[in-house]
Amino acid sequence: MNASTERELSATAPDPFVRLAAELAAEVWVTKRRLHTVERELARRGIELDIDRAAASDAGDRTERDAFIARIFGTVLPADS
Amino acid sequence: MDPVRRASRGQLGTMTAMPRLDQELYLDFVEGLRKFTIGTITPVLAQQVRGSVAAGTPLPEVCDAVNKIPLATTRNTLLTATQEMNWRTVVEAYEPCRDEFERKLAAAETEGPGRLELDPDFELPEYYSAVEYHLQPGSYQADPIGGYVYHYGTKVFHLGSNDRDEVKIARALELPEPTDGQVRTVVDIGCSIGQVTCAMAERWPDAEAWGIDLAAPLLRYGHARAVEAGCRVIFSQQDARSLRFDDASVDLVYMGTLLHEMPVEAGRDALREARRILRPGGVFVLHDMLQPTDPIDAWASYDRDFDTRFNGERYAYQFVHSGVDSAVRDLFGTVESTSDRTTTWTCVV
Repeated sequence: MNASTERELSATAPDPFVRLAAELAAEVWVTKRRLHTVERELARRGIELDIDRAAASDAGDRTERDAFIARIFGTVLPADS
Repeated sequence: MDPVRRASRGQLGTMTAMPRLDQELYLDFVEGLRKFTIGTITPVLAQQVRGSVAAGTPLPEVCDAVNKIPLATTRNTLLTATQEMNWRTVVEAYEPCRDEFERKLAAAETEGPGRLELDPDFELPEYYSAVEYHLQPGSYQADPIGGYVYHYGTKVFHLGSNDRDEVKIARALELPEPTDGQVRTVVDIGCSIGQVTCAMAERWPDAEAWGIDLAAPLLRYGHARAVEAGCRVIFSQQDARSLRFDDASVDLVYMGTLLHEMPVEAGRDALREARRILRPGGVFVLHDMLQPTDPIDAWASYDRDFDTRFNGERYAYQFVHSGVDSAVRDLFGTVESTSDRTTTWTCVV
């Protein structure tokens, strides 16, 4: 980053949603690729998944979900909060 | 995907599960994001507001000040976005199940142990049909499968804490009995899908339990749920301002989160009507939005106004600042009120 770009960036308030979107897009991309890899490998081994036939399950412990959301969306909070 | 498979994923808590796993997970995320917005972001914003705007400041000045705080835009965007994501997904997910749902509702209509009283000529009040409460598409009354949509949609509103009606059952268990112990008729006014009503019926199995609401889709859904659960409730389409009960004929009336969805004068009529049907010694429990402090807390004022303007709660700000506490005390002999996140009035005739 050259000195001119740095000056331009520092002259505008940072938009927390741009950071948030970047974080989230990265997580989505990793998950999609990982899922695709798992399904392909299972199919290669002769296991066809039918995920939508599975019964609904109560999320129960929501700790992991809430921690994920806090990590992504915590970026919008002031540093001292 | 065939229609049978679409609705074959059973129940999630007491709700019909989303037809597809992706929809269920999407809504689980929305619920979590709403929980974070309300539970983590909002307190930080509220603290910032209270630090910069004095209590008692008039609302327009409060709004001007809050709208300059960057976190307010973020928080408000997340609240409205999650509400929209929630309803859109539930509506789209259930649409392929419409025929199946309508068959179930129709089949339950004449089943017991309770009954369903709908009036085909019922005219909805204009104040009511003009609002999409909480931004639910079609609101409570316009979509025949609106009960299904409302039930799953409010799962997100409750942030997952009411998946098995826990919050509503607790509400019914907290209701005090008349001191003479006689409970023959109990009425839940503004019962929606009858979660509290069924819990009241189970608590007082020898009493006649009534669920009153304007919205036929919610009553039909509530009745179908009650039939399935073997719960004896009479779900009846009536206007809270003109109930079909004799004077002094009811032992206990519960009115939960109804008045803030009515214009102030309509709500006052509903209060008088509740008082009319209660017998001497009868109990009235009113549960609704938190009442304002004196002087008015700047954040609370802003937040209620936001709800009113952007969350389909058209009458909420008026209600909260209407002096309902005085109105209740004018009507009932004994009144006790408690507040935490909401306010509850327990009254005896």
